[in-house]
Formats: sequence, structure tokens, C-alpha cells
Amino acid sequence: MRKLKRMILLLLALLMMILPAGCRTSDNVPEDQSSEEYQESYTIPIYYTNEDHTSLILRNAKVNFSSASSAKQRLDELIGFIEDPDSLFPSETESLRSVIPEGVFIKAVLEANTSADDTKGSGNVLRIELEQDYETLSVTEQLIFRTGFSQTVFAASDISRIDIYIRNADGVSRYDQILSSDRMIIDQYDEGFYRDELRVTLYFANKDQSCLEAEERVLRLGMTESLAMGIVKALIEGPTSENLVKTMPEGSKVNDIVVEDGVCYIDLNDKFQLNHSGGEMAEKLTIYSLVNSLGRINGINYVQILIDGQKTEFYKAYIPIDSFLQPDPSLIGSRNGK
Amino acid sequence: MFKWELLRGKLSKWLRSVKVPLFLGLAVLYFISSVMLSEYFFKIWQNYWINQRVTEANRYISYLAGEISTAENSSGEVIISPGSRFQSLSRIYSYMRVLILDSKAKVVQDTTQSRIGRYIVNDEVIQALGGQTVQGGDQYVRRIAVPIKAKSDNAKVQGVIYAFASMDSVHQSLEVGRERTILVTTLIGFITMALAYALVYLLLRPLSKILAWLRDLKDSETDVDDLKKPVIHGKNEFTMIVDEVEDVTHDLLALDRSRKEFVSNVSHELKTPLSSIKVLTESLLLQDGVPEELYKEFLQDINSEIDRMNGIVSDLLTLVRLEEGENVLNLSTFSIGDMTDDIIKRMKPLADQRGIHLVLEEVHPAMIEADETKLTLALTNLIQNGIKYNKDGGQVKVRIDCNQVYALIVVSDTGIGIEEKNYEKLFQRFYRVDKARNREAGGTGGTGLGLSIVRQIVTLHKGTISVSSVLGEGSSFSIKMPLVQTADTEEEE
Repeated sequence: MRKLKRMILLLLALLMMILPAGCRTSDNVPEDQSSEEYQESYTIPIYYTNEDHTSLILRNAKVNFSSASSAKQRLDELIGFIEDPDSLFPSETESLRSVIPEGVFIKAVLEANTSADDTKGSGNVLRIELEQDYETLSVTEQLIFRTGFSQTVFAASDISRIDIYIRNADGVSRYDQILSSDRMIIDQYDEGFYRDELRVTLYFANKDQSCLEAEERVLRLGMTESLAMGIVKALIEGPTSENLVKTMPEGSKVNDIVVEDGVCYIDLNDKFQLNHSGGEMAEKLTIYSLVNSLGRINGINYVQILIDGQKTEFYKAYIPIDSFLQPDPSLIGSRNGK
Repeated sequence: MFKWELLRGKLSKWLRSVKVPLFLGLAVLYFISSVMLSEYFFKIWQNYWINQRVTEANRYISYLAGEISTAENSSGEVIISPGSRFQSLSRIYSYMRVLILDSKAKVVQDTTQSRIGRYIVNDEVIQALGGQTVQGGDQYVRRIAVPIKAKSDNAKVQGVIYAFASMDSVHQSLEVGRERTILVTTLIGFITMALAYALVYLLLRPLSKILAWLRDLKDSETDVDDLKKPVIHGKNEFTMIVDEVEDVTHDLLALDRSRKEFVSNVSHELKTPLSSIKVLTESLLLQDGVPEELYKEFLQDINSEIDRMNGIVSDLLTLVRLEEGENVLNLSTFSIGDMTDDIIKRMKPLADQRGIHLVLEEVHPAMIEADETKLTLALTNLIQNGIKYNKDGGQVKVRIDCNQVYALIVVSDTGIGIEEKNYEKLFQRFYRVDKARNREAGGTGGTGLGLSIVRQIVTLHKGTISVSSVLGEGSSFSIKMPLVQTADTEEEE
């Protein structure tokens, strides 16, 4: 703890020498209220851990930052809060611990984003250097640090990436990277814990049934429901937009849907075939709304359609479905097309 | 309209019956117990199925864990391969969702593919990464987190198999089952209620029989014994009610009979002296020139008849007063011996007429708390009887004895005696063994009420009276009475 605190003070001192110049007036005179500097208060979610490092504990902390402080200063304060639960939650000294393992932390440096990495947005990058001892920490200690630290930092700043480096005899080498876009589930078993929400693209027919048009939608999948199943069910339900037309015949049902070796085998009931009104273009749109929508799933390259477990030569009269089908982009219209 | 009123009347009458709450009670009991029973069964089923499923899921996970291989790639990262059967098996266990996480808790494999790339950092995952198998969840979803350990080094955890097992289909089946059960329960319920009503009706039929019988009893002119007792099977509360009612009715009728008898007795008793007086008077009126001695003789006879009637009437009044609520005892403490002495003195002239001796034997002097007047009357009657039914020159002895609690007075005579079969009836009103003794001149006239009065007095004092006799030799009447009337007899000497 002492080593860390010394490090931070050193950093602060360094920064105070670096930052200065510019347009700030009397920002280092804390008691002088005559300047425009004031305290801004924020509520920041900070992650701590428990005594045996088996759980992440979230606390909402009310902190005050000086309006004149820089991003770096704030970051350092934040790291200070992370390291020392006592400062903000003195009553919980017994139960709260810092997510930062003792003795491994060296320094934190704020960097501007170098576009070499394809991170979303143009936020800053935080570079953390740790002692080699970090590598010897247990899997859970490392996990708690990387998750708790990153989520706290991302929530309280515009940092978009954290690079973690280990300092060893030969110098520093990159060890880990965490992106602000990494979606982490830390909440325990809330409503959405078992269900996944995914944004998907579905293909329906346009109004005059001349081509396919895309509709983006957020699907809420059941716990054991595959993405493929969810997409086909959504196609059967129909579009939400009034400009689009459902392509799946009434009464269509999925008997089974399997993805294996890049092929999606979809078994539909006989109503899928019988209740279709017919016509070459209409058939094409029905089949390829399925194939194109499914084709967008990572891992699906081909679609094999079965009717009640059987391979059939033609869908109705025109479109052959006895072999693997590939998505056909030419059918996708230009209006809202991808 | 008319019929509706009738129906409503009948309905409200039925509703008041005891059958209704009984039947409703049974119905409610049935429904409550069947609901409780079925809920219990469903709970058991639910737990059983869920456990079955959890066991099956555990087996599946173990298999998966065995199939998983981990390998380090060139950059030192650990790649987790779930085995070739990962996807296909998941279709058999369609109620399960299996995620495979690496050491950073990132989802690298997913049976539905939708969560790949996300991180799950909750307590169960953290604990599993610490090497523990963790189970959690509720009756709807059960969760299992199993650590993936390096084959070479068992202590090194490289990832987690995190699986969720949905119990939805269990609950759905149970729901269907529950609905069906409710249906069946209701159907059976109707049958049960019908049977329950029949049972209640049959069990309580004796009540309506008894009711009908009682109504007949009330209205009927015929003797109760002629009325048919309701036919009730068994020996239960109903038959007991019938028997008790029969006894009560008999007692009441007996009482009624005895009252009627009493009235007829009284009129009979009074008629006799009245007709004598009538005869005597008429004969005097019809004859002319009747000598004065005859007038005097007849008038004397009339006088004694009048006395007799007076005696009857006042005895009756005494008896009635004694019997009906005017039973206040005027208590005082006195010596029985002294009282008896006075009575003997008064009776002496009567006894002397026939040369009968009156003897008082005080074995133990007795002080008694009693109503002196009434006791005097009782003893006087007994002694009088002793004189009346005695032989000439005989004896009437009064023996007085007592212990701590009771006083014993025995009045014995050397008279004609009483047959044992008449003992019971002796104390009845107007009873005389030999009815012919009614009007013997100077003989044993009297009202026939004497012993009734004695018994009533003795009973009032909470005592008992008994008789024993030898025909031709004499009779003795024994009175046993508590020395003290007030409650704490125990404490007295």
C-alpha cells in the first residue's frame, strides 16, 4: 500500500509540473475560492472485491472532482479510490478490498488513441504497467482485477481501451487488452441473464414483391433458442415495417434447425410448402429471404431446406431446393439494402 | 307465482336443516384435503423431475468435461476445443444451454452461438475458475459451473463449463397435470358430494322418524304404548333418545295417572262420609216423631263423619303443602327423647282405651336439628298407627338411638303385621291394606294419608324410612335422619 501511495504522489508531482502553463489560473491554490474553480460532484460506480477474492462488489461512490483538474488527475484520483476502499467506505473496512492485487501495480499512463488498433470511437487508451508477480497470481485474482478495474475506469471516463503490460527482466511486454466495447455480465441473474438480445438483419419482400429488403431488428432469444431458430421465427412472424411483406406462408413452422460444418439444415412443416400461393418470383423471395437471413449468421455458409424431414426437388414449381443453397445478394433491393 | 313461493318455502326450510352444514362441511373437507393432497403430490413430482434432470445434466456436463481438450497456441494463449459432439449432443439435451468460458471468463463456445465473445464475471464463474464446482439456481433454471482443468496439471484452471438447465417443460407438464387434476377432482367432487349427501341423509333419517313419532305423541289421543316406536337400527344416540323419551313419557303419564287417581281417591274418600251424612240426615227428615235419643245418636254419627272429612281435608292440605314447594323447614335443635315423651303423654288416653302400653327407650340421647312441628306430626302418625293396628293390651315402643351423623327412631308395635308384598304401597296416598277398615267405628278409621305424610316429612329432612313386619306379631317402622341439616355434617361431633 505504501509503495503504491508513494507512486501516485510521485505521479501527481510529475504531472503538476507537466500540465501547468495554459489557461489555468490559480488552480493549485485550494483555499482560494475567488477563482472559477469549483467542486463537481459525481456518482461513480466502483468495483471492489471481498476478503477471499471470490466476488465482485459494486458500490456507488459520491466523489468530488475539482472543475479545474485534468483527465489524468481525475484518473489518478479514481485509481486511488479503487485501491483504497477505506477512503470512501470507512464503515466497510472489514468487507471491502481493492480489486488491484497488492504489490503488482506500477503505473498508469493515459495515452491518446493510436489508430493501429481498430477500436470503436476515439477515446483515450490507458496503459497499465504491472510487476511480473502479476503473472503468478491466480486466475481468479487476475480476473477480478481485469474486470473490476476496467469496468470502473470505462464507466467513469472516456477511455476506450486498457492495455496491460508486464515488466520483467527484459523490459515490458503486453499481457492483456480490454476494450470498452467488451460486454461483461457482472449482475447476478437478473431478468436478462439467461436471454440474449441480438441485433439482426432480416430479409422480407418489398411492397411490389420484386426484391428483398432488409429490416434490422433486436431479437430476444430464449435461453436454449439458437440464433438461427430465432431468425426463422421472426421471419415467420413477419415485418414490423408497413412497407415490407411477409414471405413465409401462413402456418409455417420449424420442425428442427441444425447448424453443422457451416451448413444450416432447416426442416419446415408441410404448410410451408402447401400454403404458398405460387409464382416464380414469389417462390424465389420466400426461399431466399430464409437463406439470405440465415446466411448472415457467422458460421453458416449454406442452407439445406427440408420439408417434414424430406429433401424435395422443387419448393413448389420453380425453385430447386434439393441441394445446399447459398445466399443470393442479387435479390436484395437497393432501397434500404445494406 | 304460487309454486315459486312454495319452492322458496321448502328451500328455506331445507336450508335450516342440520343436514346442510354437515354436508357442506364434508364437501369443504373433501375439497381442502384433495387440494392439499394433490399439491403435495405435485411438489413431490416437481422435485423428483427436477432432480432427475439435474442428475442427467450433471452427467452430460461430466461427459463434456471429459471431451474438452485444451492446447496452447503459438502466442501462448489457451484454446479450448469442446469436442466434436458438443453441438450435436446439445440437441438431445434441448433443455440445456452450455457455455464454455476461458480463463478470462470470455465465452468461447455456446450451444446457441449467441453469446460468444461476451464475458460472464459473476460469483459462480469466479468460484469455478478458482477450482470449485458450483451449483445454483431455483426451481425454474438450475445452473452448474464446472472448472476446466489442464490435463497435465490438475491445479491449473483453464476455463469453465457454465451450463443452464431449464425446468420449463417440467413445469409445463405439471401445469397440464394440475389442470387435469383440478378437473378430475371437481368431477369426483360432485360424485363425492352426492354420496356425502346421501350418507348424511341416511344417517340422519332416524331424526325425522323421531320427529314424526314425537309429533304423533303430542297429538295422539291413544296411549303411548300403542304408538309404534320408530324403527332405528343399532344402539346409538338416536335409540337412546327414543328410550329416554319413552321413559319420560311413561313417567309423565304415570304422574298424570296418579294425579287423576288422587283426585278420584279424594272425591271417593269424601263421598263416603258425605253419603253417610246424607243418609243420616234424610232418615231424620223423613221420619216423624223421632225420639230425641235417636236424633242425638244420628247427629253424633254425622258429627264424627264431619270430623272425618275435616281430617281428610287437613291431611290432604298438609301433604300437598309438604310436596309442593312450601318445604321450608323451621329448624331448631331439640331432644328427640323429649319430643317423644310429649307425644306419648298426649297419646296415652287413646292407648289406654285399648290397654296398649306406650314405651320410650332411649338407647342414646339424641339432639337433632330439625323442624320440631313436622317431626312431631310424623312421629305422632307412626305412634297412632301403632296403636290403631295393635292388639288389645299390646305395646308400642319408640326406640331412640344415634351415632355421629344419624339419628335412628324405631316405632314398633305388636299388631297385626303387614305382608311383605304391601311394603312398597304402604306409603302411597290413601292406601290401606284392608279397605274394609275404612269405617269401623272407633276402629282404624283415618284418612289413609298418614304414612304418606310421614314419608314426606322424613324425605324433607333428607332421611329415610323403612318398614319390616311379621304377620300376626307386629311391625316396626325405622326412621334414619341426619342430626344436622346444614352442610358441614362432617365437622359435627
